[in-house]
Amino acid sequence: MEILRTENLVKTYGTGENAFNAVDDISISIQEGEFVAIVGSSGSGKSTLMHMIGGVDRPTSGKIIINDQDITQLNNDKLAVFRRKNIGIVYQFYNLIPILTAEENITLPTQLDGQKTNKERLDDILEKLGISNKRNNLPNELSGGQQQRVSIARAIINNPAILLADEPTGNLDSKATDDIINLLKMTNKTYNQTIVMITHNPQIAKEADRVITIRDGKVSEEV
Amino acid sequence: MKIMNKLTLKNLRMNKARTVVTIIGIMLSVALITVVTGMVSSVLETMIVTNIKNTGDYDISASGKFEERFIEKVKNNSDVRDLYTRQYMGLAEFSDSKASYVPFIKVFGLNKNCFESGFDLSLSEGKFPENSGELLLSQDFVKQSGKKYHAGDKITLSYGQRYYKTDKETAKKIGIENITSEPIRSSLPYSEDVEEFKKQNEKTYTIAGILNSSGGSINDMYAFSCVCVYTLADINSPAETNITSDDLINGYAETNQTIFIRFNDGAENRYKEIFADLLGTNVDYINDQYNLSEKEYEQFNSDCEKSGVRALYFSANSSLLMSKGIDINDKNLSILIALIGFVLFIIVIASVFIIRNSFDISITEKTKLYGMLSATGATPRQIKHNVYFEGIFLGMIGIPLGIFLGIGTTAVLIWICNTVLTDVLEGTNFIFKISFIGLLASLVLSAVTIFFSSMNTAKRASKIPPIEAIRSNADIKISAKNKKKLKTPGFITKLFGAGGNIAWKNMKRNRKKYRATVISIVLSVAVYISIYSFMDYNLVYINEKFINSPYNVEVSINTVDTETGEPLSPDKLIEKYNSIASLENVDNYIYSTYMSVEMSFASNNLTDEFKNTSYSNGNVIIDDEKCIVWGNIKAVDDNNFKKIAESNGMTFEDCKDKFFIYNTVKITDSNKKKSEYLKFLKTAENTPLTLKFELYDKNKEEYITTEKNVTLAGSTKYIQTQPVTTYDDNIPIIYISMENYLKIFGNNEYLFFNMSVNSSDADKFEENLNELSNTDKSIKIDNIFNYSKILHQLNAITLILQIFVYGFIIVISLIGLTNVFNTITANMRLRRKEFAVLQSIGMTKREFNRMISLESLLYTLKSLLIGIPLGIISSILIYNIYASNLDDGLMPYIFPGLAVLISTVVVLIIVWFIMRFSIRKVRKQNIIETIRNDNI
Repeated sequence: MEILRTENLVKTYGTGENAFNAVDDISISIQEGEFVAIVGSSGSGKSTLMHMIGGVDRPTSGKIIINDQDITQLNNDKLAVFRRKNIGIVYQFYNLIPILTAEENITLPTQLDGQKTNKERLDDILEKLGISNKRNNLPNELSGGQQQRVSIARAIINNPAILLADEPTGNLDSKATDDIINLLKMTNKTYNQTIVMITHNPQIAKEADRVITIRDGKVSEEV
Repeated sequence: MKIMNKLTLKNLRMNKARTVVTIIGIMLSVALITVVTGMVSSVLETMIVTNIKNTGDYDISASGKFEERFIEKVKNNSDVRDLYTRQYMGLAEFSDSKASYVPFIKVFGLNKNCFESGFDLSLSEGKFPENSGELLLSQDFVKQSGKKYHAGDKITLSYGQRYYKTDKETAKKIGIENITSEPIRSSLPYSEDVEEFKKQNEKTYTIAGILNSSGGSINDMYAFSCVCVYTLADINSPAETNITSDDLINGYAETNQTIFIRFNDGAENRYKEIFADLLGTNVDYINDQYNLSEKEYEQFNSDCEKSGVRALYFSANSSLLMSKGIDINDKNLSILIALIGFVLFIIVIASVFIIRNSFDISITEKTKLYGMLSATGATPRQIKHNVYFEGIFLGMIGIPLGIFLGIGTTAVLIWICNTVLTDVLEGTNFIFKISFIGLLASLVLSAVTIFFSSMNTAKRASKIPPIEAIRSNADIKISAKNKKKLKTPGFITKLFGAGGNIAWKNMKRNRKKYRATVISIVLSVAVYISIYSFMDYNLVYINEKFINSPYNVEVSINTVDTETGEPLSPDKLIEKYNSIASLENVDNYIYSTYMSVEMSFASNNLTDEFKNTSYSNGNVIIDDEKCIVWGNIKAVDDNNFKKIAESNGMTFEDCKDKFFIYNTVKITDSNKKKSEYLKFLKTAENTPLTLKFELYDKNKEEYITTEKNVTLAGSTKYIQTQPVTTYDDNIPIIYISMENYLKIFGNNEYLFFNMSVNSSDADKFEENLNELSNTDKSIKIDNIFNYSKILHQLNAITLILQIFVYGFIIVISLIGLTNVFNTITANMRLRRKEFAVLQSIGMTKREFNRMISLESLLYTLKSLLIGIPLGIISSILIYNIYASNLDDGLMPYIFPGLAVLISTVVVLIIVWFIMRFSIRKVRKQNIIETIRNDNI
């Protein structure tokens, strides 16, 4: 089923003469369970696109429909609630709350929702991501790769509709990069998790099922 | 270097709020230091001016007999600025005197200097005398003179001497076998019956003017029975009357010559050496004037004689010298200096603490910047200088502003003191003076404070490795505590949700960040509560002593039968007191007397609580039959005894012979510092008791013990006889009428009364009483204690104390507040990314607010939980100091509830406001920009 659709999405920065469309009329559709990579050079608008999809930024015009819900119609509070139930985001760096342990960081979205953590799911995710023994460590005790794993775990704990990853391996060495990409693929396969990943590295992009190239704010090609 | 400085300035401008707040913090510290130094210099100047007004502008005064060559030597000495001289011209009859006991006028000749600069001589009319034929009248003269004199009038003085009468009776009265033909010293009080005045010559003067002030030291202190007037005469001008050739009477110098020396400003601190030099003697003799051995004393006298000085007595104007900083050997002064030093020390410590914290925050925010600078090639030294630059820049703005603020505040404080304390100061004025040294001290102290604050910070900044710039992990250090699995209390999560969880963990794991804030709040709260308690006890003490009293004036008089010179007989005495009681402006009065007697009661009439009290009372002996106790029989005037009678349902006539007991005794256990009020007798009516006392029998010339059996008629409440509570209720008191008292103790030789009056216009009453004493010669006023005046003064002083102390606290707290503000806002900004992440995960606005609110609530509560008990403990300590130093009555401990409440509310409000302010700034941020933008 279609889990994400954007319709004529536009994001404009600046006014009057200096007006510039970072995202210039993008319409895409993503099915549940797809692993999509969005590529493009710096400044192409991919990050802007992803952040609008993630509900962290508002479009100038156009619609975003996730799980049959038009999130552009939601107010800030409702959007926040929607985010924690339906979207998981992983950034390039600084994802974690420094004063919470790995486990506490992971269960954060659940807690925000007022739900009790499903212990089994937690243990399962910790193990699958290979960080069971680090569950009680603080972020500054973890390596970059471990931190990203924790981020991913947090992003998927609530079984979100979409996992968005903005250059998740940009900060990691090659081994860690491979690990993370493999983990993402595993997550995608095991939990049928829809993943939309931004990268400017074509090698990494190849690992995805589908690659959407963005150029100057428009979709340039889809593979 | 310029680039780095530019960076610093830009950073300061970007963080306007923090920069302004830091500058305010510096300003307040500097202002506080300036106020302290300003007050010190003002008080010193005031002391100097007041001393000059009270005594005169001189360093040493000396009396004796000075030859002209000595006078010339002093005048010509290069270290002497001024020489003032006073010559005793003679004694004259004061024929216009209103009172017979002030029958003389003492005439003094002052040299020109005196009228020009030496003393506080203000005229109410006329001018100063310009020759020895003109007189300047003193205020005393004007008050005592029945005839009114004005400038331009002529007055004739009959000069003469006082001599003892030569008859046998006089000799017997004085106790001198052979009365010499020497005159009586002018310093002895006048006694009409034994002396006579022998006139020698007359002189007519023109009155030049009338003095308005006392004049200070040119006034003769020993002028009993005289008033003083002044004329213009140099020292060694001939006196108007013949004083014996050596000018000594009965071996004492007549103090007919007194000189006052004012040394030059720069030479004042060597006054002893210069004076010794002028006398041609050793300076040790000057230092130890009173402790010389006989031989040394001889040597000293011989030296003086060689220089032309005889019968020398000298003293330094120590109060003036002390206010100029010379000869400070007063223990009290060193305590005062220590106190001021301590206050300055606290201010400096608080300032260093705050300013350093401010710089620390600035560093933490610029960690990336310094790391990057280090990476691009800035040496540690350059970075250190950059931090100093920030300090210098902020200091250059803050310090001058602070100094101006301090000067202005000092002026305002002085004005407040003058306004509030006008009555207390009685004419003295606080003078506002800022000394250059004081300002310099403030400047240096502030600069040093800022330097020390930035020194440590600079060192840390220079050591930041470049890698920290990128990682910025330095904030949370690994510590064993952090590894523990921290469980948030259930109710927190229930009430505040996930946000609460984060807030709780933040408080537990991130203590260091808020340590400065917590300490600031703790200190402010603790100090405020302590000071509040201190002030409270002062007020309670004053209240207890004065406000609740039924009387506000205490009258103390001496009475003597003007004809016989003997004490008045009892009924005449009562007459006199009644005449005082019937004066105008007396609303209420009481006069009483008492006798201590031994009382014995039947033991079975004592209350159980009295018999069984565990407190010790040395006055009481109890056995199965009798209880023997020392008590007071108090006699009160008829008016008041009538009230006692009426309270028992009887008339005065019925009760004239009756005895009423105050049936409560206060037993105090001095070890436990507590007291109990116990009912004494089970029944008072118709209770028999035996009084035992001693009376002096004039005929037998010995003390005779008398026993008397009486019966109590009833009881009464405690009758207060004095304005200030006397706490004499630790023994039984029995009240009787005056008549009854005289009947029982009538033969007692000396009868004395205590009298207290309640007057709505106590000053007027004082005037009326003075007039009465002037007309009725048998009444001599010993003292009038005007307690409403004293109360008024105490209240004024307390008000000033409150203004200063609370003002000080508020400023220190404000300085602490700047600290709190900076810490909180900085912490908020440093956690922007954290907040952005939370928002991106899906935290709503409300949840976010709740998290921040809980966080501020948590560490505020922590601060209060430490600060309030600390404050209470120190208030208990203060109470102990108070209670142990007061020996009259016992003050109960007062819990500083209001202070606790006020500080809690104020702290919560302030912290809440600051939090809201920083939240607003954080919430406005764009989530994406924040997370992605490493450069923020």
